[in-house]
Amino acid sequence: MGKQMDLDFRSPAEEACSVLLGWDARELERAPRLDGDSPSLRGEVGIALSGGEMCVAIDCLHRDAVAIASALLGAGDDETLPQEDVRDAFGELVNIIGGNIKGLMKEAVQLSIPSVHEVRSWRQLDVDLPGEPISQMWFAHEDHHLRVTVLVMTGQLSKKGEPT
Amino acid sequence: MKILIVDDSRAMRMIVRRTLRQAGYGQHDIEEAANGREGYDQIQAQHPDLVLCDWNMPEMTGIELLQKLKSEGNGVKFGFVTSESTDEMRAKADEAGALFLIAKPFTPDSFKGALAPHMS
Repeated sequence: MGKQMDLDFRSPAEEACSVLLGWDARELERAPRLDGDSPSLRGEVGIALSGGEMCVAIDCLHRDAVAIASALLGAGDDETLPQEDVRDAFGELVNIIGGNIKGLMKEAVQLSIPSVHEVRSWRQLDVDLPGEPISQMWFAHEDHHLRVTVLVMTGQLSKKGEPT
Repeated sequence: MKILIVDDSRAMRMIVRRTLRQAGYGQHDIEEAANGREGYDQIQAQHPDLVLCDWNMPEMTGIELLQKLKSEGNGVKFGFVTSESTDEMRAKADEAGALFLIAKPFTPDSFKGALAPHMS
């Protein structure tokens, strides 16, 4: 699993944000200060390897997930997207970033179906990581933020994100 | 032409539809299905000319759908639009009879390049 730590996980996230959302997403040197009480979303996708399993977890505030969905779906500023569309669009972003990260790993065998869940506060996401992080990156576009974490699984998610 | 988009994400089906329009294929009749099983049923019922299919879906994956169609002698034009595009997957898609594999994220140009030879 050690060789995964040397991979460039940044490019898939930047490319997906640029091509898909039209965002100039730049990696931040340090974590931004976010409101810990804000409702938030986490999207996860599992990557089965020949010798283990990894996970890509992508987190953002709910308002940023709405901005992502609006950009992805080409929604107007005055358009209110249904929550289902916000989750679906965010899940697709997770799927694309996860799929491209999988493409970097020679030992990768399968990608799971992405899952998205909402939490009441950002703070919850910090204490609820599904594995051991080997890389964590923050990206920002204007006042929107995205956190991408690549984790080595400790056995929990493999049951939830069963590859198909 | 009748084009069928098969993807379990409604957002992605909308994006593929929009990209088809941006690539100059907006005049075609475009239908949607939410997974491989639904795609199979629609192919049987509606006989599309081209299928643009995701790979990783619940119910029936894209490659399972293509293999099923081929095993039944259905020669519908079939291409993948997927977030995974390793050499191994491209080879597998090719071997199964796919005409192309478009990697997500994609642009209207990547659609034009992949689809143009098959749109006659």
